[in-house]
Formats: sequence, C-alpha cells, structure tokens
Amino acid sequence: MANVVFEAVTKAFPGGTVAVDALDLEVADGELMVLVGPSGCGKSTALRMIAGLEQPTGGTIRIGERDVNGISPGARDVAMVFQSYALYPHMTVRQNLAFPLQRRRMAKDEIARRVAAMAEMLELAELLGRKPGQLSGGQRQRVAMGRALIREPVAFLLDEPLSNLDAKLRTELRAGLKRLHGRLGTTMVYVTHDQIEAMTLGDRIAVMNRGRLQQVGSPDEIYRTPCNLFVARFVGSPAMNILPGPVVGRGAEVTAGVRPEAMQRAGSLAGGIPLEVVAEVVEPLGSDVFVHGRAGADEVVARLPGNVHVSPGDRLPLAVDPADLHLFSTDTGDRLV
Amino acid sequence: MRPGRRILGSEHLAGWVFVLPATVLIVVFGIIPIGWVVLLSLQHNDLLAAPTWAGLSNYRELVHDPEFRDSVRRTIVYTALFVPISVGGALAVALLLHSEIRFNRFYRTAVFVPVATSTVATGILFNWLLDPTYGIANYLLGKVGLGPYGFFQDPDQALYAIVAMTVWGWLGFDVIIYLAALQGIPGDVLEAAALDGAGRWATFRHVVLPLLSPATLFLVVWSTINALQVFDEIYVTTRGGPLQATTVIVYELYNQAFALFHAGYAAAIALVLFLITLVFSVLQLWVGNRRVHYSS
Amino acid sequence: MRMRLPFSPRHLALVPISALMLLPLVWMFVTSVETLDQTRHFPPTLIPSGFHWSNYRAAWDQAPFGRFFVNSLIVTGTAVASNLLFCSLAGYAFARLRFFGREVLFIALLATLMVPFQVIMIPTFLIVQHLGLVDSLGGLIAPNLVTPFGIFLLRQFFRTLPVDLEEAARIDGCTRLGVLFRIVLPLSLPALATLGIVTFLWTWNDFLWPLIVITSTDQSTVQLGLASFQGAHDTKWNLLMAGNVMALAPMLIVFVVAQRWFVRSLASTGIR
Repeated sequence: MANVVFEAVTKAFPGGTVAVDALDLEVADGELMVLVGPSGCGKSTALRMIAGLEQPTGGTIRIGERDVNGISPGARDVAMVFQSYALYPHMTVRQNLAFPLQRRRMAKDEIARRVAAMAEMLELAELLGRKPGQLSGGQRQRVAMGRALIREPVAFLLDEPLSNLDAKLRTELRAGLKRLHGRLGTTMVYVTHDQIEAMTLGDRIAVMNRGRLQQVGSPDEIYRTPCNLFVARFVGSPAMNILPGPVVGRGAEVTAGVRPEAMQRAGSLAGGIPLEVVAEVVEPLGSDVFVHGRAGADEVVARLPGNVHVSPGDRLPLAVDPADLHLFSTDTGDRLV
Repeated sequence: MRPGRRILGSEHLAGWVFVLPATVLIVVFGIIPIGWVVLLSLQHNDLLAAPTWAGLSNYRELVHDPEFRDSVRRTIVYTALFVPISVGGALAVALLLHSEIRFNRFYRTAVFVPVATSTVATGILFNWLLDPTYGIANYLLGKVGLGPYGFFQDPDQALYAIVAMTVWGWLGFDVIIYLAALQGIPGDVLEAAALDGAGRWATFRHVVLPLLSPATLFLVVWSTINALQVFDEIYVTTRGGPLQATTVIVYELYNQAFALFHAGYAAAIALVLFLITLVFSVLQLWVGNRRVHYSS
Repeated sequence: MRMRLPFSPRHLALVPISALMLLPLVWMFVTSVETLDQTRHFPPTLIPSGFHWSNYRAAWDQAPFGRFFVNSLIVTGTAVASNLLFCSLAGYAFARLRFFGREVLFIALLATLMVPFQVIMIPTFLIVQHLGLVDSLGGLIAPNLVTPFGIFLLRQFFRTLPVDLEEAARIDGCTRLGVLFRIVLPLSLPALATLGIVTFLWTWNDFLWPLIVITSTDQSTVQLGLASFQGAHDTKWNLLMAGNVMALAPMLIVFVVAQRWFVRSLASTGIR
C-alpha cells in the first residue's frame, strides 16, 4: 500500500505539445482518486507516467515516498487496467491471470492457488480455459481486473476501464469496482472522461483541463464549490447555467452560475433572486421535470419537481437563493468568494 | 436463398457462365496436366516415338538411381539451410525495423529492394560478385583475412553459395510478412507485459513470438515449398555443377525432360517431387497447428 | 556504468544489413559503367573513374533488349488483364452466386494450387505444342491467363463487402454483370491492385516456362533474353552488368515509386 505523489510533473512532447503542465497532486494511501476531464486534458498521460509507460520531462513522481524516475514499469509494483483491456489474445484466461505471477518467479502451486482464488472472486471460474476472443466485453474487463489485482500491487491504475461497455453493464461494474475498493483498500487512480463515474466512484476527484489541474477535492466540494467556470460546468448534469452578472443583479465583471436544481418556483422561496424563465422544451422524467428555456436572452435549464406542470411557452416565475449562486470573475473564470 | 428471388435456373446459369472462362483455363492448364503427368510417369515416352506402357518401372528405376537420390539429398540440404536462415534472419531484421528510429524508411527500402529483382538477374549478378578472380566478394573477404573462395566454381562450396544468393533475394519478402504481423500486435498488450514485469526477452518469448506464430508457420511452409523447387538461380549460375554439386531435383527434372527427352522418367521425378513437397507441407502444418497460438 | 549512445543501437545492426542488401546492386551499377579492363582491376575501385555509358549502347546492340521488353510487356500485360477479368468473374460467382456444383468446383480449382508448376511443366508444354503455340508469345501467355490464387483472393475479398449494395442494385434493375462491374469492382480496388501487382511481378520474372517454350531470340522475354545474353558474353562483366541494369530498371523503378503498394500487396498474400 502506498501513496502516489506528483511534484510539479510536466510532460512535453517533441512536437511542442504539453500534455501535462506542472501537476502537483497527492493521492493518499488507500484512496480512490479519479482523474477526470475532457479528452486531451492530460489525465491518461498522467496515469501512464505513474505506470512508467511515459517519462516526465520535468518534476518527480513518487510512489510510496520512492522516487520512481528511471525505474521500469515492471519494477514499480503498480498494476494497470487498460481501456482496451490489453489481454494476451493467445493465452487462456488462466494463463492471462498467471502471467504476472510467473514473471515474479512465484512457485507453481502458489500461482495455481492465487489464480483459483481470483477466478472465484471475480466469477471467472468457468471461463478459465477460454481465450479473450471468446469472451464478452464485461468478462474481458473482469479478466483485466483480475490480472491487475492478482499481483497485489501497491497502487492500482485504471484507464477508462468502463468506457467500452454498454450503459447497463457500466452501472453494474461501477458499483462492483467501488465494492472492490472498499474490500481491498488499495490505492487506486482512476481515469475517466465521464463526470458521473467520477462523482460516484471517487473518494476525491481531480479535474483536469489542457494539462493543468483545475481542482482537487471530494465530490461534494467539487460540486458545491467549483473553483472556476470550467469545473463548474464540467461537473453536474445537466450542466450549471451560466448567466452574465447583470442578469442576476451584479456587474459585468462577474459571471454567475446557477445549478438547474437551484432554480425554484418563486412562491416557495422567500428573499430569492427573481428569474423569469420562458419555457421552450419540457422534459418530464417522472421524478423531475427539466425545463429548457430562456431567462432574458440567456439559455437556462431548470430542474423542477416532477408534479409541476409546465408547457412550452409558459412564463415561469422562478427564483434563486443567493446562497446557491456561484460567482466567477468574467475575466479569469476563477471563483470569487 | 431469398424466397421469390430465384427465377428458375437463372442464377445457376449466371454462375456457370461467370466461372466458365476461368474453369476452362484451369482445367486445360491445371487439371489435365496433373492427370497427364501421372499418365506420363507410367509410360516410356521420349516425345518422338509412340509411348509404351511402363507401369511402375520408372519409379523403381528412380529409387535405385544414384543421381536422383543425390539430387534429393542436395535439395534437402539446400532446403534445410535456406528455410531457417531466411525465416530466422527475416524475423531478426523485422524486429530491428519495427521501430521509429531515424532513417527507418531508408533501411526498409534497402531490405525490400532485392525482392524486386528477378531470379535471372540475381544469378548473373552473383556470378559477378562471387567470381573467384575478379569478384568483389573475395576482395572484401580478403581484407578481413578470409578466402579466397571458389564459390560457384568449387563443388564443396557451390550449394552454400546458392543458399546465400537465394537468401539475399528472398529475405525482403519474409521481412514484409513479419513486419505486417508485428504491426498487428496491439501496443497496449506489450505495455501490459511490461507492467506485468516482463523484460524485453520475456516479452519477446511469451508475447511477441507466439503472436507471430501464424506468420512464422506461413513463411516456413511457403519457404520450404519454394526451396524444394529451386531452379532458376541454379540454371543461370552453376548449371547444376560443378560436378553436379548443385543438381537439385527440379534441375534433374528439367534435364531429363528437355535435354534428354525422357519424358516418362521425368514425369515420375515430377510426381516424387510433388510427394516430397506434400509430405513436408503436411508435416509442417500438422506440427504448426499444434504449436501455433491462434487468438481463439 | 551503462554507456548511453547518442543514437539507437539498432543503427549498428541496420547499417551493415542495409549495406549487404544494397551493395550488390550498387556494385552492379558501378561495374556497368566501367571498361572491361577496369573490371579486372585489382584492387577493385568502388567509385568509377568515369561513366562509360557506351556499355549500355553495346549491350543494346548485342541483343535485342528492346524486343525483349516489348515481349515481356505484352505477355505480362495480357496476363494481368486476363487475370483481373476472369478471376473477378469467377471470384464473384463463387462469392455471391449459388449454382450447382459450386463448392466442389471451388475446391477442385483451388486444389490445383497445391501442385507446383514444375511438376506439370512437361504436359503443359505438350498441350501448348498441340495448340501450335510453341515458340510464340501466345504460348507464354496461355498458361498464365488465370491463376486459382487470384480467384481465391478475390472471392475472399468480395465476401467482405456488404451484400445490401448489390441487392439494391439488382432491385434497381441492374444485371448481375452490371452489379459486378459497376458496384463490386470499384469497391475492390485494393484487392485488384494486389492481384495485379503480384501477377505482374510473377509473370515478369518468370524464367522456367519461357525457357521451355521459347527457342528463338525474338520471342524471348527479358529474363530469357538476359540469360542467353549471359551465355553469349560470358566474362564481359561490364557488358553483362549493363544488361542486368537495363533488365532490372523497370521493376526497380516501379518498386521505388510504388513501394507502399508493392509492400502492402505482398504482405496481404501472407495474411489469410
């Protein structure tokens, strides 16, 4: 078990692209840290640098207080689940699971024992004789997990392991992963572009954009106090409404953010900032209703209780509690207290 | 078959019309000759007078013919050298070329270019390169203290010189096949192996080599078939000599058929060659299928 | 302490390997522009002192290389064209049409691939003799008009195309032949290119069959002509190398220009 620390880590590619820019991040021992951001934000590169598949061009990476610069991937005692699973196509499930242990010159009966135990835990026992080509996506994912876990590494890296699966399977396996982490307590670094995965899985989330760390914190912190416009818009579905300062009664140097669920009916909120919304598209979901419309010239989305009846064209008198207002500098995008 | 789409017989007719030209040609130049060669092998036939029935006597004569047995021996020696050297060498070269280093395209072109040469041109070229007196090979070898060698003119060396020459001509093709196969290995599988603690040699032995095994099998079978039938280069360089040192099966076959006009005897040689090729191929495929690692 | 080279160690191996591959051809060219005395010079000089292009002139005069090229072009061109045509027709029929005896016929045709040409060269000669085509270009072309390999290659490729396109065309009133030529073939250019290139390479470089079937010089192909040229000018290395360069030039140029196509075509013959 170990922590993972990035100290001013930079990765610049020969062409000039800077994939990761001066990243400072600490993943605590036993924590499940999710790196999240749009594609190209540097999260996968950061993960691969922990594994040793990419070398930083600046800064230091420590795993368990040990500077791993120059240490080969196989010697870092970390394991990784690849987006494509990267199973050995010519080996059976059993051989795939055994391979990492064989590399460590473990005794044959010990290997057999561990393989059996892992197969049991991940419900792969019946598939041991099959090859990856004969497995479904979900099964392959479990084999990839098994191969990574079987070594009992100090850190467990996952590169978008669920993105190749259909939605239903994804939800199932997400819960399975969380349970697994709870059981094993291994340090996990999980990369995804899906903010829902990030929010549901992570002990803490690190939001990245264009190679830079935007914010790191618990899902709650990220959600309730996003430190800049990017984070505010990235997390939350539907995305936060962005309104210019004047619309909500502030100056032009301020941009305001209001989450859809913070927009309530004016009547039920005393002392709220009034916001009239003209409904355009109404999406009734049963438990909620999403109203897409306009506040003045700006497009907004409001989330109202499901029993509220709205039709397109309705003028809705809504209001926002000042406490639910997020204020950002129009200039820099950073949060204003 | 879609219900209602089939107008009585018209698809059958179309099918046969489409395949007719190719079928006729292959029957005339493929199937009939196969039958005819069997027939010839059972005849005493000198292409001039009327053939007489020989039964299996051509084959009996073959088995006891020391020249034929020698040609078989030489062919097998040649094959036993050519196949491992060209396939193994190609694997090594392909591994070297499978990278992004500078000048890689130049190196690849250099390795591939000999494939575009013809067997005849290669033979004539090597006649010059390996000329014992004026050839550059002996000159360069002399500079490192080796030689001079007789090469094509030395009965003990000629066959090996032929091996070297044909490996030069064919290596590029094998490298092309191996490079394509290497490019088919997903990069992240190799990364996974690195993370699993496999060093370069372990990755090669446990991941790369098994994933290349279908290509290896193809190349071994293909090279063996080609080696057993080598002819052109020998005709252009040594003409089967010196002192029959390079008379391989097909050369013997050519001699018997078109120089001595022993068509029946030659046909028997041809069929024995076919048999030998068949046995080798089947054996290799059988062993290969047990040991080749298919991805499911 | 590990020494780190400023460049990849692969270069250390690839440079000699490339040299081994290229030097024979370079030396061939160098010799082709030397005088006869220079070829016998010891030690041999890598850089020619002068360019005696007259060797090429002499070679061209001594043997009708022009004729050889024309013959080879006719034979190879015809073989490529007829293979593309007949293998497309047959390959399409095997891929898409259902007709009586289809499977058996396919296996029978493919089985002939197992028998190498050397085995059937005698009867092939006799057949060509019966057809009166000995010592003519027709005799060279006839056995090369179709190869079962081409049928196999195209059938496999056609099967990977979506049937819907062809069915839509049929519904629109297209004949089967029209479907093949208007829809399927335009989508099959990679496979056709592969077959064309492989057939071209094989037919152009073919030696054994021309050796058997052709006796007169003016019906000779480049390969055959080159071999007899060597026979006539045994040790005149400069002349022989000039002839060699001329014979190899077209194929080498095609290779350098279309290397990617070349390589891709050859690579796909190995992937079944």
